[in-house]
Amino acid sequence: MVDLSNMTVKKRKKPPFWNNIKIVPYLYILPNMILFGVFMILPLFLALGYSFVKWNGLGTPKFVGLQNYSYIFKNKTFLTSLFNTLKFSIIVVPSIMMFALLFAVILNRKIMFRGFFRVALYIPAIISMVAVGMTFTWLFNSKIGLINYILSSMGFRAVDWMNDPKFALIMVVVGTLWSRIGYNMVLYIAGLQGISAEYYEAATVDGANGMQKFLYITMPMLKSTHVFIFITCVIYSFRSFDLIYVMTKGGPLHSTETLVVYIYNTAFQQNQYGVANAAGVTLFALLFIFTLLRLREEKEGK
Amino acid sequence: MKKELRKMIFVSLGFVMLSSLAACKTKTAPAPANTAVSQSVPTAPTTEPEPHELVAEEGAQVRFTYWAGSPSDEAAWKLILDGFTKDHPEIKLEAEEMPSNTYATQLDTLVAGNDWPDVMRCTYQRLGKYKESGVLLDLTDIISKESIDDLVPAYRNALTYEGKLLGMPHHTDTVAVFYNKEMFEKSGIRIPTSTKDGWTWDELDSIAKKLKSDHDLENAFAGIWENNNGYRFLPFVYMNGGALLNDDGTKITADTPEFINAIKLFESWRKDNLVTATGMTQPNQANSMFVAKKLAFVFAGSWHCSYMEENFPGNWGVTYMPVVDGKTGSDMGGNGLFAYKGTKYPNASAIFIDYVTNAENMQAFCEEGNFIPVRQSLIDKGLTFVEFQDEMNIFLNIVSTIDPKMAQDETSAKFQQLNLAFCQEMDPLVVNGSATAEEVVSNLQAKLQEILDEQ
Amino acid sequence: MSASNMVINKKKIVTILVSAIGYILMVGVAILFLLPFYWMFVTAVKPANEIFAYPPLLWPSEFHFENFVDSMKSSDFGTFFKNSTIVTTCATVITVFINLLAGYAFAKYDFKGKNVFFMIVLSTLMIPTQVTMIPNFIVMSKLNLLNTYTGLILPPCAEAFGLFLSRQFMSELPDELIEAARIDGATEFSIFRKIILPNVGPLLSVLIIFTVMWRWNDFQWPLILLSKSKMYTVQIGLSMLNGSNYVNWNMLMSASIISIMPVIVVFFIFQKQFIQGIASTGIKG
Repeated sequence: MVDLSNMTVKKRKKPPFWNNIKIVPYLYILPNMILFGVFMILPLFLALGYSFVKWNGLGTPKFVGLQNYSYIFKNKTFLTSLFNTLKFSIIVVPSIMMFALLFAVILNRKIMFRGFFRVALYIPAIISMVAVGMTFTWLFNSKIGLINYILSSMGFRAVDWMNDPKFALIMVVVGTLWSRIGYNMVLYIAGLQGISAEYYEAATVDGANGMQKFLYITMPMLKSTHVFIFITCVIYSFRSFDLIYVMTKGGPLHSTETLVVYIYNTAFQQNQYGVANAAGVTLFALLFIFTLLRLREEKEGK
Repeated sequence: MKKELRKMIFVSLGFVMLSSLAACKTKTAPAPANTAVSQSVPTAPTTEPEPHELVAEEGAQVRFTYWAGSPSDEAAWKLILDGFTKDHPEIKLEAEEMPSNTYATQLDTLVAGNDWPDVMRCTYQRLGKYKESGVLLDLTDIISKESIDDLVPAYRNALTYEGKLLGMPHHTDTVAVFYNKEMFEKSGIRIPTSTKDGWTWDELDSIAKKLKSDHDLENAFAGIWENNNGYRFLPFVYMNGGALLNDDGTKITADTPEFINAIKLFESWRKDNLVTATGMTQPNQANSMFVAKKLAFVFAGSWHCSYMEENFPGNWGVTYMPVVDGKTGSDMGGNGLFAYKGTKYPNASAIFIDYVTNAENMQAFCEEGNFIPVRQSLIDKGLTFVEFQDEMNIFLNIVSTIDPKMAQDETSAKFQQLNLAFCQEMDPLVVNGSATAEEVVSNLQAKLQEILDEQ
Repeated sequence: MSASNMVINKKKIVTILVSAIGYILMVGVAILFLLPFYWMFVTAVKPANEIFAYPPLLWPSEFHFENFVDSMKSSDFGTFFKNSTIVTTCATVITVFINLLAGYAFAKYDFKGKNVFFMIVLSTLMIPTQVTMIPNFIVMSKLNLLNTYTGLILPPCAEAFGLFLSRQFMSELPDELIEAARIDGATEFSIFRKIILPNVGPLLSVLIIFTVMWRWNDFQWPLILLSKSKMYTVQIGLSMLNGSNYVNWNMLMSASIISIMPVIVVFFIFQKQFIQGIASTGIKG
C-alpha cells in the first residue's frame, strides 16, 4: 500500500533560505539596501534632524523648530536660487534632449567614420567637471579668451561672460551641454536601435517620407527613452554642482547660484548648517514629488 | 500601496523625532582633556624670566593640518616640518597638507564631525569663530613671556581672547601695488619711494585714467579682493579714518562719512571703468589679467612674487600703497596656529606651536617662503630672503603700517560672516553698479549689525 | 517610365543632399566638441608666457612636453593614481556584483515591498551630496573609516543608476528559461550563475564603463573623507593645482589630460559591447 500521508508531508517541506523563492530576492537586494540605508537614507534623516537646529559647526546645536524653513522661504538668495535652478533646468534639459536626439538620428545612419563621431561627442562626459569648468572658464575669459576673440573678429562686441549677470548663465549652460550631450546621445542611439526596421520598411511601402517616419514611428517608439532621459536630465540639472562652482561660484550677483550652490555656500561659507540642511531637504522633497508625479503620469499613460 | 505609504510616513515621523533628538545631543564641546598641562610646567618666578621646559607626553602624536598657497609656501613648510621631526623625535608628527582652495571646507567638515586635528593653521580672518567658542587650547602660561612680548601687538591681539592667548601668530603677508614697468615708464608715472610717498586717491584716479587711455586698456587695474576676500579692500576704509566696528566690537560703524567715502572711491573707479568688474564673490582673475598685460597694475600679495616672475619675467615691479592725509595701510594677511582644547597631547601640541613660531624657525620659514615675520626682533633685524629681496623689503615696510584697529576688527569672533556679507553687499556696486555707495553702506549697516546681534 | 525614373532620382538626390548636410553638420559639431580638448592640450604644452597671449595662440611656438612629467612630479601623483586605481577597481567590482544580483531580484522576482524598496532606490538619486556630506562624515567617523580605502570605496557603491540599468536589462531576459531550470530542480543561485550571468555581457560593459567613469571622477566625497594626503585621489591632486589667487595652467591642464587617460582606455576596451548593452537595457520600453 502506498503511504500517501508521507508524500504530502515531503511536498510541504520548506526549502532552505538560500533556495527559498520567497526569501532569495531579499537576500539579493540586501547589499544594495544596506548601502543605501547607511549612506543615503540615514544621512538624509540626520540632515532632516539638523534642519531643525541652529548650528555653526562648533559648539552645541540649538533646536529652533521650523525657523530655518520659514527663514529660507523669506530669504531672497534662496528664492533666487530656486528660480535659477528652475531656469537652468528649463534651458538645459530640452536643449540636451534635442541635440542628443538630433545627433543620435544622424549617427545612427551608416555614414563614414560614425564611430569616430560618436566617441568624439561622448568623450566630454568622461572628464571631471573641475577640468571642464577650468577649461571653459579660460575659453570664456572676457579679455583673452578664445570665444571673445572669435566674436570680436566676426564683428560682434566682446561679452563679459564672467562678470555680466545676464550672460554668466549662458557660459555655464554651454559647459553643461558640452559635457552631457554625448552621454544622452548614446542613450538615444540605443533607443533607436531598439526600433525594429520592419516598421520603417512598412512605412516606406505606404509612401511615407523621412519626416513622417520620424514623427510617427521614431518619436512614439522612443517614448520610454524620452521619459528616462528626461527624468535623469532633470535630476542631473538639479544636482549639478562642480561645474557651476568652479566657473562662477554662483555669481555674479547670484545669477548662476542654483539650489545646490546655495546649500554649499550656506554650509561652508556662512557656517549655517541648519539653514543649509533645510534647503537640502526642500530640494529633495521637490525632486521626489516631481519624480512621483512623472512616473504616475507614465503609468497612467500606459 | 496606500497601506505601505502610510507605514512609510509613520516610520519617517519616528525617524524625524529620533534624529532631532540625536542632532541636539551630538555636539557638546568636550570638557578639556586634562588640566595636567600646568602640572608639567614649573611656575617660573616673574622676576627672573626663565625658559620653562615643556615636556611632551608619553608616546605623543601631533596631527597638524595645513595648506600650501604657493610653491614657496610648500618649500617653507617642508623645511620647518622636517626640522621639527629631527629636533623632536619624541613626538610623532602627522602633517596633513590639504589643497589651498578647499582647506577651509575640509577643516569645517573635520570640526563639524568632531574629528579635530591637534594643531591647525588658520587665516587670521577666519579664526574669530574658534576663539569665541572656547574650543582652543589656552597657551597663556605655556609660551614664554619673552616670546609673547616679542610679537607685533596687532598679531598678538589677533590670537588673544578675553585676556587668554589661544594660539600663536605665525607670519603675515600683505598687499602692495604690482605694476607693469613698461606701461608705467611709457606713461611717465611716478613710483612712490616710501610708505609716506604713496599716491593720494586723486593721484591714483588720474594715474589710472592716463594708463587706461595711453595703453588702450579696458580696465587700468584690479585687486585680489575677489574670491570672497573682500576684506582686502578694507584698508582703504581704515586709511581714510573709517572702521567697521566700534571700540568694543559691539556695533557696526559703517554709516560714517569716512566709511562711505571709501566705498564711494570704489564707485568712482567703476564709473570710469578703471577697475575690473569682477565681483568680490567671484573666482579670481586679477593676477592672470595682469600678467596677460590687460591691466597696468594690480593690488596683489607678497606671496605672488614668484607667480609674477614665472609668468611675467622682468617686467613687473612693486610699490607702496596709496595714502590719505599721510595715513596709509594694507591688508593684514597671514596665518596663525592654534591647538584644539580637547587634544590628547596638549604638551606636545604646545611644543609644536612654540617650535614653529619661535624666532629662529619663524625667520627660516619667512625667508624660504617669502613671508613676513610677526616678531619685532626679526623685523628690526631684517631678513635675507631666498629671492625678491628688494620687493620683500618694501613689503616689510608696508607691514608696519597695518592698522591695529583693522587687525582687531578682522579677528573678531563673527568676522568670517561679516566679511562674507560685506562681499555680497558690495557686489552689486562692483559688478554692474546696480547699487549706489549710499545704498551699499546702509545695507551693510543693517545686515552686519544683524549678524553681530545674533546669538 | 522616364517620369518615375525622375521621381526616383529626385528622391535619391534629396537623400544624398540630406546625408551630405548631416555629414557636414557632424563634422562641424565634432570640431566644436573636440575644440576644448585641443585647447587643453595646447595650454598644457605652451610656454608659460604664451598662455596669456592675446590674440589667443592656437598653435604654440614651442612644445613643452616635459610639462606632463612636471605636473606629475608637482605633487605626489604617483600615490594619487595608485589610490584612484585601487578605489575605482574595487568599487567597480563591488558595484557590478551587487547590482547584477539586485537587478535580477527586482526584475525576475515578486516579493512583498518590492515597490517600496524601489522607491527608496529612486529617492536616493534626489538627495543632493551637499546635504549628506557632513552626516556621512560623522557616520564614517563613528565607524572609524576615515582616511581608509573602505571609506572611499563603500559609500559610493550605493549607486542607483547601476541598479536601474541592471533591472531593465534583466527584465528582457526570457522567463521560460528560468522557470524550466526551476522545474528541473536547480537552486536559485545556480540559476543566477548558469543562466543569467552568461547572458549579461553587454550589461557588464555598460556597468563597468559607467562605474569606472563615476568613481574615477569622484571629487566631493574623497575631499570630505580624506585629510591625509597619502590617501588623496587624482581628483583632489588636480584641485591642488588650482590655487586660490592664481592658477598654474600648464600644470593643471597637463595633469587633467593625464588624469583622463585611464577612463578613456577603459572606454575603448569595452565600447563595442557598450552601445549594445544600453540598447538591451530596453529603455525603449
